[in-house]
Order: sequence, then C-alpha cells, then structure tokens
Amino acid sequence: MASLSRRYADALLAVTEAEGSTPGVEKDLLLLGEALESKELRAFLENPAVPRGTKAEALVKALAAAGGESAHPRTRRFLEVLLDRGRIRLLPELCARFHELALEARGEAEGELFSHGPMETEEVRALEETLTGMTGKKVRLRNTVDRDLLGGFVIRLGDRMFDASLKGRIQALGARLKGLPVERLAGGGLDALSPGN
Amino acid sequence: MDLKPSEVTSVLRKEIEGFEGAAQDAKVGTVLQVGDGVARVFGLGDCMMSELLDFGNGVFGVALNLEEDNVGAVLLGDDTKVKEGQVVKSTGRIISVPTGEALIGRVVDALGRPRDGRGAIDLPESEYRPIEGVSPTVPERQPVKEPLQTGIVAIDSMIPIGRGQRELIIGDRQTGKTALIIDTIINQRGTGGGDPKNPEQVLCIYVAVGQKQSTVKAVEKVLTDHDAMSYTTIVSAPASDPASMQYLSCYAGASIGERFRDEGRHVVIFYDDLYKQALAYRQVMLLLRRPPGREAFPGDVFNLHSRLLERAAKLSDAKGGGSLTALPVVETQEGDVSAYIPTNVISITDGQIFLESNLFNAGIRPAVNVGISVSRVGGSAQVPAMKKVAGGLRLDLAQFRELAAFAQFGSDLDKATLAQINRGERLVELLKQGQYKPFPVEDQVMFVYAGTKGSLDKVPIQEVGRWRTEFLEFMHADKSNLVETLAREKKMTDEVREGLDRAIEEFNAQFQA
Repeated sequence: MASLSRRYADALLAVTEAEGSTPGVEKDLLLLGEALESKELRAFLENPAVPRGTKAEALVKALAAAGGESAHPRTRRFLEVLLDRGRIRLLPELCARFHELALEARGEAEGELFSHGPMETEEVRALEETLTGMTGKKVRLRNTVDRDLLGGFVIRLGDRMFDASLKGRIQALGARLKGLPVERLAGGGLDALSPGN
Repeated sequence: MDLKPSEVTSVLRKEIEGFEGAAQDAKVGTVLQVGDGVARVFGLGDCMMSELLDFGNGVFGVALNLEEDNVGAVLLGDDTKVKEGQVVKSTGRIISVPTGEALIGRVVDALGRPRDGRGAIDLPESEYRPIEGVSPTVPERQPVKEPLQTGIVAIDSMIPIGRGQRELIIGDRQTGKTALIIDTIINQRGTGGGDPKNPEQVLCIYVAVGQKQSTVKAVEKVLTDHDAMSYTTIVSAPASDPASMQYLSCYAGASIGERFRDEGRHVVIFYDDLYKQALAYRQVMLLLRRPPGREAFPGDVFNLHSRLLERAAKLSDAKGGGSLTALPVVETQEGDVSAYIPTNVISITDGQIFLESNLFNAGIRPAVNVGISVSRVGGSAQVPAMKKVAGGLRLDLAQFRELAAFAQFGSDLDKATLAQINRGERLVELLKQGQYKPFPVEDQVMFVYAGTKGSLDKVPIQEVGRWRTEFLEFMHADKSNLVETLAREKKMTDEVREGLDRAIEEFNAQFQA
C-alpha cells in the first residue's frame, strides 16, 4: 500500500512541477487530508453504491467549503483518476505523501516540536535556525504541548528525534542506575538491582 | 548478604550528581504492527541489518527485514509491553554479547545477561562481540591435530574427535545425548586441573536451546557437583524464552567461544540442540512472512547451521593456534535421520555419533552405534597408542556384528566363529560405561589393549565390568610406573607393550572370576 501511494504521489508531483501547479494542488490535498479525518467522509468514498461522479463532486465541494475557494482543476482531475482506478482508499496516505515530496522538492522539512509548555515564537525560530544549519534543509516546526514531558522539549524531524526533555533525562538516569555494578552498591550483594535478574 | 542502606544511598547520590543529561539525538521509527514476538516499524531510515532496536520499557529487538518503507524486527522480550504507534530508537549497535573470562562459570542468556542470580556481568563496550561472527578463512586455519578426549571409550577409540572438529551427536529422545555432553565436559577437567586461567584447560560452553528450565538447572547442578562449572559457561535459552532468543543463543555461544579461540585457547561448544533452534528460526521467519520451503523451514535454514558450524576451527600457529570444537546435537524423530534438518547437519559436520534407543534399552550405554558412527578428521588427531590398539577393536567388533547376525539362525558354529563371537561379546561389554565416569586415555588404552588381545576371553561376560575396575585399580597401585610412562609418552613402545603383557598375565592369575 505504502509503495503504491508513493507511486501516485511521484507521478502527480512530476505533472504539477511541469505545469507549475504544485502549490495549489498541495494546498488542496492538505485540506483534503484534514477533511478525511472524518469517518463519514471516508465511509462515503469507499461505498461502492455511490457513483464515481457524485464522489468527485462531493470531494470538490468539501474542498471549497473548507478552503473558501474552488479547487485547482488538476486536483479535480487527479481525484477522478483515483476514483476511476479504484484507488480512492489511498487518498489519506497520498495527501501526506504528496506534501512530503513537495517539501523535499523545495528543500524544506517539517518537524514536530513537543514541549511541556507553549514556547515563545523566538525560541521556536531559534530552534528552526539551528536545525536548518544541521540538516541543510529549511526546517519548520509545529509546536504541540505535551504535559507528559515534565519539562524541556522533544523534536521529531523525519526519522530523527532530539530529546531534551526532563522525562528523557530521568529515563536515562534510571537506566544508568539500574546498570550499576552490584558490587559497587553493597559489597557483592543486592542482586535485585542488577538488570539481568 | 549485608546491605547498608546508607552506603547504597551515597553511591546513588554520587551517580546522580555526576550524571550529565545531555540531549539525545537518535534515529527513530514508529511501531506499525506488533504481535507474536515480531514488529513492523515505520521509519528508521538508516537501520542496519541485525541492528539492536530499543522499543522502550527494557524491550529490545533485532532488525531482520529491511524493506522499502518499513523494518521487520523480532522482539527479544515481552511483546505485550510494545504498543502500536510507539517510538522505536535505533541503537547504532549490531546485536552483541559480552565475552571474556567474566563469562566463565556463569549461566547467561542469548544477550549475555546473567541467569544464575549471581550479579551483573559488567563489562565495557570493548569486551562485546557481535553475535554473528565471520568464520576464519582458509589461510587462517590448519588441519586438526590435537585430540579432544571425551573420556568415553567407545568414542575416543573408534570415533576420535580432534580439536577444531565438528562432530554431530544424533539420536532419538532419551538415548543419552545430553549425558554424553556432560561426561565430555567433566572429562575436560583433566586437561588443566579445572583452572580456567591455565592455558592448557579446555573451556566448555553449553548452549541449551528450547529446553526445560529444570533440565538446564539440573545440568548446572551436575557440573557444579563434579567441579566442572569452573571452566564452563552455560548459554541458556529455555522453552519459555521468545523464539528469537532461542535461535540467537547458538550464535551468542559461538561468539563467547571465539573470543577464547582467538586468544589461543582451546574451547569446546555444545549446541543442544539444533533441531529446536531450527524450529525457533522457522517460527520467527514465518511470522516475518519469509516464504516457507521444505517442511515449512525458510530457504536459508541450511545456511543457518552451516555459518554457525563454520565458526568452529583450528587456527594456524600464526593466529595463535587456538581451537573451537563444535559438538552439535540433533534430535531425530523415531530414528529418522533422513529428515530435513538431520541430513543438513550431517552434511555440514565432519562426522556423527549415532545414539540408538534399542541399544540404550538393551543396556548398552553409552548407546553409540559404532557401526554407522564416523569421524572424518579426528583419526589424525588420535593419541598414537590409542590409534594402535583401536584398529583391532574396530575390526573385531565389525566381524562380531556380522557373525552375530548369522548366529541368530542357531546353526552349528565352528570353533573360530564361536571364538570371534565370544571376543565380540566381551568387547561390547568392555565399552559399556557408567554416567559421569570418564576414563583417562591411558586407562582406555590399557583395557582396550587387553580386550583386543583376547585376555578377557576366559572372563565370564557378567564379570567383565568388575574385571575392568579391578584391573585399573591393580595397574594404578602396582604398575604406576607403566601407567605414567603411557600417560606421558602416549605411545605404544615395545617396552610398554611388554610391560602391559606381563601385567595383564599377572592380574589374570590373581583375578577371581
């Protein structure tokens, strides 16, 4: 499934890059991705009793309702292709894939910033600049509050994770204390603290 | 155990004060799917084959399938602690085990973590070795030339094993496979007095795969009772362990052994047993959706065993001359040696020791079928004196087997045939041996010599065991010079032969049948 949606996303990107419609289609697909969070919409799309034309129409209308303006003609045609081929199930994954590919093509990267409390815009910008320097891509961060972290922040950027949270440090300290040689704790005793037992 | 809370507190306090919690930068992925001890992970872009993955909560996994957009991993711990959507960290480390002297005398699991409740094995990263090792190349090896004495007459005389050889132990359940291993381990005590620091001491590694924990405990106890744990490591992956740990345990054991081998030591490793290991591997591979082949084993099950057994070697002198002898065990079902796994392992090893249940039930223990057991390379490593006397033994037994089959027809037998059968029956009796009672090679040479020479032909069959015991007692008490010469020179010189002839005559004269 994953490689299938990647093929469609690749093809779509090639088309939009050639005709310069990438930003418009990307915006549409992002909105669609959000709209597809709704179970009713997904059930409607996967229902074989509904004719294809109706589905395409509904999707375009949903887009217009969400974005305030009409969908890009390329988006509409792409949706028709998907419906025609019976691949509309791929749509939620495809939206995310296309966004990733478009970002990569522009030399950008999007990451998530989890923090214990909301962070100042300047702090976020400073982090973005540091990460841009590190990865060579223009990094944008989305800030989410996660009370479980106890303090500090965690950044998820693609496959990489930077953990500067209090929770992470406490876990690291815990692992270290558990791994202490038993002899150092109590002259050869205290088996219960050793990791293997 | 004396625990002082104040000491513990102060150590912990120092550790906490000295702890620098730097931000961690790690490659991560997300668990897509988990169950039956395997997980599929999305992400982990630069993941390596056999890399150790941290699933959190103390659960680790090994990456085995690197696919286009996900990684298939086997879990080395409780899969109920792993949840879908959970973050997985790569460790940048290929799965490895601690090695070295700290492991001797211990019971550990497939990751080198203690299983004997005797405290942590705390070793720096430099003492770790990847569990999948590359076997020595051709120039790094030399032919097997030193004997590995099992202490079992039937084996040391007719199926001799050399250091660096791979000899399969094969037989049905309840035929004494593990007993043979235990006797061999106990007998290694004679090489260096049981002192692991003595370079002459042969070190033993016993890998228990998929066995009952009680069985492993029993083996450990027997070895401890016979002072054999001081040079032995047990790698235990009992039936209660995840299948991944069971199949990895053999490689972990091999890595522990290789460390000593590369330091110029002699090591013997026992895989008990490879059939269960193949079953565990089959389980993991089917769950990872690798295509099944014959008997539903994955296609690389031959390589699974060949790459493991290729790590046994006698190293060249330039490489230190160390050796790793492998004695794998394969359990057969109803004596079927033509099943998939037995034929594979038979073709990989340098010979096999067949144990048969009908021999076992007939009271011939160890139940070695010397007719079909072979050792392809061990002969060149055999002690010269033993080589000399064993030739006659093999011939006498072969003729006996042939004649015994005919004799069953009950027809009249001529004198020569009767004598041959008579001799054979006594030799079979002479090869019987009690459990945990290995014989030193010089003792074996003395009574095998007596047997093949016909000195026991007049001793009643049921008295052969007593004859052997009393003969050895007599030799050690009255002819200790001769025994020492034989033990030292290991050659059947004319002088030794004459001395033996005289001693046997003298003993037979006083033996009360």
